[in-house]
Amino acid sequence: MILADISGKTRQSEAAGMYQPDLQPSFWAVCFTVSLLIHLAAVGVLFFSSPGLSKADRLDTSKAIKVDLVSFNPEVPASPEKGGTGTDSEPESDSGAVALKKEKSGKKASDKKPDKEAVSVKKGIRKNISKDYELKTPDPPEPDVKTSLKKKTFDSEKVIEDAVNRIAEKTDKARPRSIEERIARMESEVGDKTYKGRLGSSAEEKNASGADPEDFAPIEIYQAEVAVAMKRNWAFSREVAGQTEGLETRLVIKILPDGKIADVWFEKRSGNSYLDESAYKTVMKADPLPPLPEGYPHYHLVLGFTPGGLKR
Amino acid sequence: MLKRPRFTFKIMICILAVFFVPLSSGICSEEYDYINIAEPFTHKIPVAIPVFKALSEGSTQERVAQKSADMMQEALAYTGYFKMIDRGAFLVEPAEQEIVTDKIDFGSWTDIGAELLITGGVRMEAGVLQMEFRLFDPFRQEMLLGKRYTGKPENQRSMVLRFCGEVIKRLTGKAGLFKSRIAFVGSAGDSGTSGNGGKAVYVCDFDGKNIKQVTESQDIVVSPAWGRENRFLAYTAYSDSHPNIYITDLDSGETSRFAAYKGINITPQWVPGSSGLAATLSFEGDEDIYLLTDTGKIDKRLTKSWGVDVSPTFSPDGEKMAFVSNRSGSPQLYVMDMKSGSIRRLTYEGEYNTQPEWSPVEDKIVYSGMKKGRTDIYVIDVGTGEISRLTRDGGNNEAPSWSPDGSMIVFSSTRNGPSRLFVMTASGTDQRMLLEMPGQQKLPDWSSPAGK
Repeated sequence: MILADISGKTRQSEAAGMYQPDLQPSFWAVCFTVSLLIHLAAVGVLFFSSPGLSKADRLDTSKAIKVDLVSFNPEVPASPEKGGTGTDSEPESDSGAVALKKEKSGKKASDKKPDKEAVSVKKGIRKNISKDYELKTPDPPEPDVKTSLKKKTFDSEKVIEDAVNRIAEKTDKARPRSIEERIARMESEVGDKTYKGRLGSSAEEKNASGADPEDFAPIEIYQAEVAVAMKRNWAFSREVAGQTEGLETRLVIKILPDGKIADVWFEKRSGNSYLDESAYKTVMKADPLPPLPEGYPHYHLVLGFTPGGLKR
Repeated sequence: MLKRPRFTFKIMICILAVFFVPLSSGICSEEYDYINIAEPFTHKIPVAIPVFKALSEGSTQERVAQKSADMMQEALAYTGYFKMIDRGAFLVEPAEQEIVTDKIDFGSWTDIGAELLITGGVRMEAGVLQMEFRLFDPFRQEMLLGKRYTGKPENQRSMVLRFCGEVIKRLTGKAGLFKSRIAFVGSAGDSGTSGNGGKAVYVCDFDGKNIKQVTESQDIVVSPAWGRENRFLAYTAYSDSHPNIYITDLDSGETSRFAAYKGINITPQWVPGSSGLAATLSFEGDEDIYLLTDTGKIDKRLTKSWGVDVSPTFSPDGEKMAFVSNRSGSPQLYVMDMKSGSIRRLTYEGEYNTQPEWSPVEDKIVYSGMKKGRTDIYVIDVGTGEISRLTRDGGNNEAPSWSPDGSMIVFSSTRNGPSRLFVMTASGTDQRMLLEMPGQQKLPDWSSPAGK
């Protein structure tokens, strides 16, 4: 009798035959079977096409960030700018460009240094670089391009040529081969930009004390490289952001073997839209990153940006 | 027999659950490695401002386009929020640049790391100047702000500054300081009545330009203070060795004597939300702070201690007043609650703490403090008592004053020899000279926020 109520399901008669005439449970059983099959199909699709589940990512889940990022990326106590050292901040700071003296009329005489983060060109020019390249010692930022500015003549050919040279230099520098070279490059980069003396000596001590590059897994070194690349590209004005104590923006990036960032998304927004935007732009500026270590078809990494509070 | 289907039912549920678990964990990014980035490399936003485009023919337009682009760079750089990307780094030739959203190749700006881009167009026809400016986010490839201004050619600077104010408002939500002015005491260039070199009160724009003399040259004039929507300046001037308080109307140029009681009349300061002033008077035998009406009559005596009480400064809501008193032996900062009259001491460090000014936006007070014979600028948090030192090792740094948005501080410094006016951000960075005139420049006061 209950059979008559349920129509349109041919399986019903089979199921009805296997079980008691009480059709309610068998109806549910059939539904579950159908549902199970659909889920199996979905899982199958996901397993075979989603990179998120592949093994490479699971390689090392032991938050191995004990990577002494400290040695590559030291806690920078109040930078020379903060706390106002009256004598040295004036000539070195870029706002020397303001040149507020009455007599001078806004010449950017002191603004000659091409800061790398402002000038770096980041499109993927990697394809043509030969792999047999040897690492050069990175030069400190050089002002050679800026002589043309004195006359404010714009020589487009020269600019293009210089831009190409800068690209070539940069990509040359971006292809170190061995782990030692990569660590040395990171140290010198960070050392150039922050505390030359301090970092240099601590890095030397570290190497001398036997912390061999081989102690670090390639992926840990890679994480440090990414951290350096992100930090170098992060421009953030606390004054514009307002109160940022305790805030964190988390972005997830998917990196391809050649270092290109294939995808970026927010895992967690901080609530401060300026901070979120600043983090997002940092990632876009840092693209492309160094190539992944061998054996990684792709790599996901979570970046947590924590600017901290406003120090006064 | 009912048990069998129930049992099968449960099996089905378990199997489904088993499949669900790996599905969810596979997508969840908690499995991904995490790195922390804690310190930005630069604390300034990189901005590109190419030379503006002349939209009509003529060499004047080209000049105006160049000059106003430079002016905008300087004004924005002044705030300390931005780092101007050098034009030599641009990948786009000025002649070929586009200024509207649809046509701009944002890639050439993101490639050089510009997080903001400002383009401008200048058109001058029949003696009318028209300028249009646009602010872009090259990474998002969108226009954040666009304005067009029309006026006389001599309004060029105010058009540029107005747009700068809009930019700051868009980015920080607060009005900028581009309309503000700074008053200070400078040498008048003549020898004064006693032959010692006359002094006068001067006024200049926020960036030190357009300096104007406001008072006549006289022997001694000190502590200028802006008031009543920045239309008036109060200050102390000595006549016959007698310090009196005067007020000059900047619109009309008229000066009137405000307070000339027996004894000294010094350190005038306008009271927020009222038309009166507070000042230190000694006509009752002791130097104390009084409230005066807008016509200079005594309204109320605020401090009564033996010892010297000077330099009143009010919280933005007018409910608290900070001042300097030597009642404990050396000049220190105190805070008085205006309603209850209760007073508490604020500073305990340093031999000599004076010249306080309450921030227009928060409960912090900037002041000059002496330690071991050297004077520097400090900021104290009124609530926590925490002190930050903003200058060090560079001459004597005194007489600080907040910008109306609380983002910058002007002060005088002898680090280069003669006393000069300097500005810095509120955190003490980007210290640089504001202007330079013959003689000495001292005692700057930055104008108040609009409406006070």
